[in-house]
Amino acid sequence: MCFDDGPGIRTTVFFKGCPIRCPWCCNPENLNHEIESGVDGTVYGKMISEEELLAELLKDKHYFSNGGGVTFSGGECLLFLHKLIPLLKKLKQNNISIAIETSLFVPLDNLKTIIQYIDWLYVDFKILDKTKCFSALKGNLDLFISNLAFLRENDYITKVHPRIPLVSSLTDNNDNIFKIIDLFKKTGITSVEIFSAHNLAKEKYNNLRYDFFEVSRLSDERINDIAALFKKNNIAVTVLHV
Amino acid sequence: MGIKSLVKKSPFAPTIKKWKKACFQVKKNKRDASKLEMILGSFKIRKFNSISGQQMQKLLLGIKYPSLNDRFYYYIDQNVSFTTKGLIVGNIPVDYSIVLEKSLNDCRKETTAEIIDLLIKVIDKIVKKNNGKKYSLYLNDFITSSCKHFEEALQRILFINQMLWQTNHTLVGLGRLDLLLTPYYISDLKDGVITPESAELILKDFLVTLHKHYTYKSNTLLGDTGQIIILGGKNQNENYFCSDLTEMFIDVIADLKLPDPKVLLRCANNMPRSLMEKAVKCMCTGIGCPLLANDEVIIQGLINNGYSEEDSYNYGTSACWEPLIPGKSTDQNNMLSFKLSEAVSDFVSEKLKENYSFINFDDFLTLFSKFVVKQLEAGIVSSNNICYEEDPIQSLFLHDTHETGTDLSSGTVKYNYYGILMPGFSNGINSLLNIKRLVFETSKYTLREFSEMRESNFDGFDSSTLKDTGYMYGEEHSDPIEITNAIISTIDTFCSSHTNKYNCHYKFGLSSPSYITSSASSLASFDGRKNNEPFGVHISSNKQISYTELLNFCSKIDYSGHNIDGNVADFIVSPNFVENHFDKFVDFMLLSVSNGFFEMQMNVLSSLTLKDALNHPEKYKNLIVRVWGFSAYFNDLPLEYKLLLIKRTEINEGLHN
Repeated sequence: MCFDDGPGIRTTVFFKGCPIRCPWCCNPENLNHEIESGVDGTVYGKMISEEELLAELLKDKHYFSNGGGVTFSGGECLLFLHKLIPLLKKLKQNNISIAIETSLFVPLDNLKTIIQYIDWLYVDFKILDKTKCFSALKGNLDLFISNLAFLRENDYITKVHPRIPLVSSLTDNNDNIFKIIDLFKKTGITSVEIFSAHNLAKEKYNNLRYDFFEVSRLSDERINDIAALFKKNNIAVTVLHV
Repeated sequence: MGIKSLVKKSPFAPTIKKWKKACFQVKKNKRDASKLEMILGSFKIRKFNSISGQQMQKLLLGIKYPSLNDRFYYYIDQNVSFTTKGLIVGNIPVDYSIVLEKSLNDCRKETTAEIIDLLIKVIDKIVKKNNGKKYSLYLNDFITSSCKHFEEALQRILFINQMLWQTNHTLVGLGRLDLLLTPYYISDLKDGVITPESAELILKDFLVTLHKHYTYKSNTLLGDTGQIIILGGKNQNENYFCSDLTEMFIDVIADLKLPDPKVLLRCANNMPRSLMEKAVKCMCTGIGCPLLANDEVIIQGLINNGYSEEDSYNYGTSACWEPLIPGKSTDQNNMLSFKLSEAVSDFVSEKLKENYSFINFDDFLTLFSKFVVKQLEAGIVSSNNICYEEDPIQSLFLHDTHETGTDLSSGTVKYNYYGILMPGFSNGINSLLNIKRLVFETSKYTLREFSEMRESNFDGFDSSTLKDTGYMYGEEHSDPIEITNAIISTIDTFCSSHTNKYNCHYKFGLSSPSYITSSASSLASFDGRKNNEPFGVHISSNKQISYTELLNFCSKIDYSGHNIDGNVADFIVSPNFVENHFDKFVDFMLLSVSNGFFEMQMNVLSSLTLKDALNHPEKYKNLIVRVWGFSAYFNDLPLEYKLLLIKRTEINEGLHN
């Protein structure tokens, strides 16, 4: 049961494997495809068949009736969902809403194949400078831009719910914020959720023996300044307190 | 054969022995509670030999009722009590509608004249000391008139409640007070006698008054007073009853932040969302109530069990959560307890001695079911030798004895069911799951090897691995659900074919108050529980699972039979989780009603708070937690309860495996 990843009461499925490496990622256990074990013996991930997954997701069908449903997250769920079309179809047959949390750093075909089943897309807007993006995230910004263009051109943009993780010196500078505002205007996005990245995943990093990138929490003042920039450009802002 | 020898021979003997010990402990606690007053007042405890007749007169008229300047008159002399031979029927509410709608003189019959006169004499004594006070007028009116006002109604309830506590009754319930009081509340509002604000103050004083004598009233643990107020509920026309008073009760309880009295909210699909919001806000104060009871499941269950349809819609509960009909039941819902996990162990030992070779798990389960029935049959023998003590005051205000002028000890009350508690039920189901998986499916151990491991208290073996061998009790999966329903069916069949001496079937429930006391002498079980470790708590999982998973499991339990004696889903929620998602949490609660849980309660707590309270009790004098069917101050709990609660909270937070 999850209350955070979309409207209503939801079940969130986390896929293992991600094409990019955001230093502030709070789900380090889902970066790699392989099932991993932590120092304390915690096993991160398990294999599950499509049938088992469907059965698990249908368990909470009763609780989805107030607009809730299933959210696919990760890692990057768009690396896998195009292989799970029968599952998506069955969820739709059961009138279950489907949301995804994605970076959009995936081949366009992956998105095209599944978009008809998706009701709600949480898309993180991160670093919109191509060089800096590759340097910090190992991500090809062109993929992100072309996927977003596809969503706009095919009238899916209303399903997009953008979020910005504010990371000191990486995503929070005014130059990056203005680039995001420009992109919002071009694509017709009118609202955004922003939040300061946090260090809550530190223990998981340590347990997995991964290097931990400690972020400096943004001050409320700085967050408010950023919010004001969006508002000035007629973009509604919600500040999430994570 | 006398009762004593029967008790000794019964397979329930340890339970009964413990029950007696518990009773002794209660009495001892009460004595301890009275000590201070005894020293101060140099009183001696005066004991009387019978609850009936002259002895009662001596007791009640021998009390020096003091002059009180409170809104309500409420006084219990903790230094006087009865010695009785029979069982004083406690753990029930009387029919307070009789108290409100009739005068004492209206209740007069040839057989009840003596007790009526006695109550009038008591009132006279109180009034004489407190002449001119408002409560004296109310008490005087009780002699000759029916109740007219809201405040007066509360005074009448308190007077009878006081008389019951004074005459050795325990766990005195309060019934459906919002339903009973709403007409008086509305009438007084209309006539300008009260305002909502003044009514709230009156209600607050009423609840604070009931909270007096907290230690004296407590049963096995401090806080276990049984002072339960039932709120809301579906009418027979399927409409949902609630009123401004229903919400006021919840608001005042949340505001007072006392562990006692406690409230139970009857829920239904058509209850107002605003009422559930109030309930959740009250739970968020951390006081552990209201407990939620689901009319959509319970009413039909009661009807199936022989309670009339009209009565079933009017259900209340015993002290914790065991449904009964207020004023029409002398159901003794905690009459017996049966430990399923011990039964599994005993059965395996017996079959190994016989060198019996099971064909498969189905064969095991079939024979085990027969073993369970045999154990239950032997167990109920002793319960049928228990006699109720004559009880003139309580009989006056129970519907059937009131009508007929009889005493409840003659069995004339409409419903006289006996309930069987099931401490360690989840441990029993998990034991069966482990035997199925480890012995019959994977052949990891022979039954003898597994049994020897258990008998050695899992010496040299990491028994925690046995606590998660796959889907366990509380998880929505066919394995635990099918075995749970199979055992329920076995016990249900037993209950269907056995009645007590009042010709009422036995009933049972899956939640049990005594998950620690019952386990204290219980040896290791096949679920990986070591010697004397606490049993599972009601319907809960010993793993970190989602709330929906547990409630889906609960909704798949078959409640159509005799398993209506309380089935409480129990879980712990982090305060931040509710606060940050209040609306969705209310959605979740409402959807859970339609999903079909039987009853539900929760602690809204964080492990950090509890651990700090453990180390610095002085900082947390007012920290309240839900224990079983009651709440208590955390500092008052025995250490083992504190530690278990901390462990469960950590499991909920993913901090404990």
